[in-house]
Amino acid sequence: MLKQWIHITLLSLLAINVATANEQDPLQSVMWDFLLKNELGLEPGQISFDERVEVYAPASVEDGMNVPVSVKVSGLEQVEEIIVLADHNPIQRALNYYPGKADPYIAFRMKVQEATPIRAVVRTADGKWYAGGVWLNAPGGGCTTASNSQVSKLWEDRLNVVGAQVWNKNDGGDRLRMRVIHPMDTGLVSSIPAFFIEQLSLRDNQGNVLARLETFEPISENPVFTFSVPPEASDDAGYQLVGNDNNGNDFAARVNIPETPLNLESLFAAND
Amino acid sequence: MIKCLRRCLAAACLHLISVSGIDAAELAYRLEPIEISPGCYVLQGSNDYFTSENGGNIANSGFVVTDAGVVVIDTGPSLRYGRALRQLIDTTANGKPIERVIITHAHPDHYLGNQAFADVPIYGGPGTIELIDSSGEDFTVNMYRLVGDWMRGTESVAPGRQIEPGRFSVGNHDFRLYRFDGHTVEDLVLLDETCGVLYASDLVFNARTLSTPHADIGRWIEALERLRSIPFRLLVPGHGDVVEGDAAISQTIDYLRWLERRLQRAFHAGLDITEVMELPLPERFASFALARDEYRRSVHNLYPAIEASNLPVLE
Repeated sequence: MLKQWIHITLLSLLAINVATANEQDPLQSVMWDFLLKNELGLEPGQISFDERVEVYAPASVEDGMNVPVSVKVSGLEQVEEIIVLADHNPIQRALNYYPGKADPYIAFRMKVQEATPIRAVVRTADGKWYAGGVWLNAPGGGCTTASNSQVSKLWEDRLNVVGAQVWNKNDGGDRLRMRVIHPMDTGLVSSIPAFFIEQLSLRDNQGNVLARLETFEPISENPVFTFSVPPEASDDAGYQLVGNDNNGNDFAARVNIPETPLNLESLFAAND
Repeated sequence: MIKCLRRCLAAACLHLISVSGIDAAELAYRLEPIEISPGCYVLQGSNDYFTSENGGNIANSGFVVTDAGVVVIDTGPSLRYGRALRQLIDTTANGKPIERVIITHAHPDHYLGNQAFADVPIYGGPGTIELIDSSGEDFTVNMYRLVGDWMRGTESVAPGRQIEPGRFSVGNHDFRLYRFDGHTVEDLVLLDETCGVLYASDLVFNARTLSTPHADIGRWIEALERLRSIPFRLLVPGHGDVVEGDAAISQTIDYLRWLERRLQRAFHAGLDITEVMELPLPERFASFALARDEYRRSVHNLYPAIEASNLPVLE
C-alpha cells in the first residue's frame, strides 16, 4: 500500500513539474487554483510568484480577528492594483488597492477564519500579474465571531469617526496612518447582517484622488491602514480621507500636517 | 525533489504510526517534583510555547504537603497533566488527602487539569471564574489546535468555589493568599509563610519572555511593586526557574516598563504594527526564552489600543 502511495506521490510531483518554477504556488495551498480562476479570472500561466511582492504577516497569531498584514511591492514598475486574499477564509478577498500616485505599499489588519496563506496579487500597467504570500497559523473563528461593536454597541455614536496622522519620510514623501470606527460585520454571524466599509480614497488637500481602496468583510473591526506617499505626490497642506460603507454611510476627514512635523523613524536602536 | 520525496515518505510513516496508535501511547508528561523547601514542591514546565512535543506543559505548578493534607497550586494544561499531577501528589504525600486546589488565574496552561481534581474543592477568585466561564471553551479549542492529542478528553472546568484573600492554615502550614491583577483580570499569589515560599503565578516570569494576552501593563507593574513588600525567601514564578529573593520581580518590571516605552515610542515614530513586531530587542531581553515570539504577541495585543488612543480624531 505504501509503495502504491509513493507511486501516486511521484506521479503528482511530475505533474506539478510541468509548470515552470515561478508559476508553482510556493505556499502549496489546495485553494490556489480555485482562487486563480474564480477570484482573479486567470489561468495558471498568467501569474508568476515573485519576490518583489513582499507580504508580511506574523507566522502565528493568537487573535484571528486582528492579523497585521503589510504588502510592499518594490522594483516593479507601474503597479496598478494590489489584491489581498486569504485562501482559507469563507470570504477570501480582503481588499483591492489601487495605489495610483501613492507608493505600492499598504498595511492593515484583517480577520482570518483559520490557518491560511495570506497573499498579495499585483497587476502592473503592462497587464502582467505577480504574486507573493506567507502562511499564517491562527486559531479558529475570526470571521464568524461577532465584532466587539455588536457586543457593546458603544460605537453607534462614533460610526465612521476617523483618527489619522501624517509623518514625514526621510525621502521627502509622507506616511499616513489612519483608523476608522466601524464594526466591519462579515454577515457570517447569525442574525448580524454584513456591514462594512466598501470604499476609501486618499486624496490631496485639494481633493484630487491619490489612491483608492476597496475593502471587504475580512478587514478587521475599526480598520487601521498605513499609506505611503512618494515625494512627488506629497502635499504639504495635508490630505483628505473619503469613504463609505455598504449601508450608504459616508465619511470625509481632513488630515492636517502637524505644526511640528513628525519624522518617521524606522531605525530603532535595540536599547531604546 | 528527493528531499520532497523523503518528506512524503516521512509523512506516510507518521500516518501509519498514528493509525496503529503508537504515538498516543507515548504521550506522557514526565513530571518531576522539586522540593524547594520542606513540604513545598514545584513542577517546572518547559520554557517553550505550546507545542505538540511538550503537550502544553510550559508553566510551573506546585503543591504543599502539610501534616493534614495537600494544597495544590494550579493544575496544568490538560486532563492528562492533571491526572499525572494527582498521581504524583498521591505518591509524594503518601496518600494524604488533597485539602484544596487553588487556581491562580484563568489561563489554559494553569487550570485545564481541573477535571482530575473534580472530587476536591477547587478555589479561584471571582474574576478568574468569570473569565473561564466566558472564554474557557475558546481557550480549550485553541489548546487542542496547538498541542493536539495531549488534550484528549480535556474540558474547561471553572473553580467551583470562590476564595477571598487572607490567611488560612492547613495542618502545620500557614498560608496567606493575595489578590492582584495586571497579568490578567485577577492574579492570585500564595505565600506559604511556614516555608517562606511565594507562589507568584504569572505575575512573575524568570528569564522567559512575558505573555500578555489579557495584560494591563500599568496594573501589572503596580502589582509587582506590592509583591516586593511581601516577606518571602524563595519565589516560584509562573514560568522559569525558582529564584531566591526579588530578582525576578525586578526583571519582570524592567521588561514591562521597557515594553510600554517601546510601544509608545514606536507609535510616535510612525511605525505600523507589522514594523514594530520586527524591531530589534535589547540585549538584556533578547536572550530570554521566546524573546521574539512573545514580543511579537505582546505588540499584537497592546499596540492597537495605543493607536486607538493616540491617533488624533478628525472632523
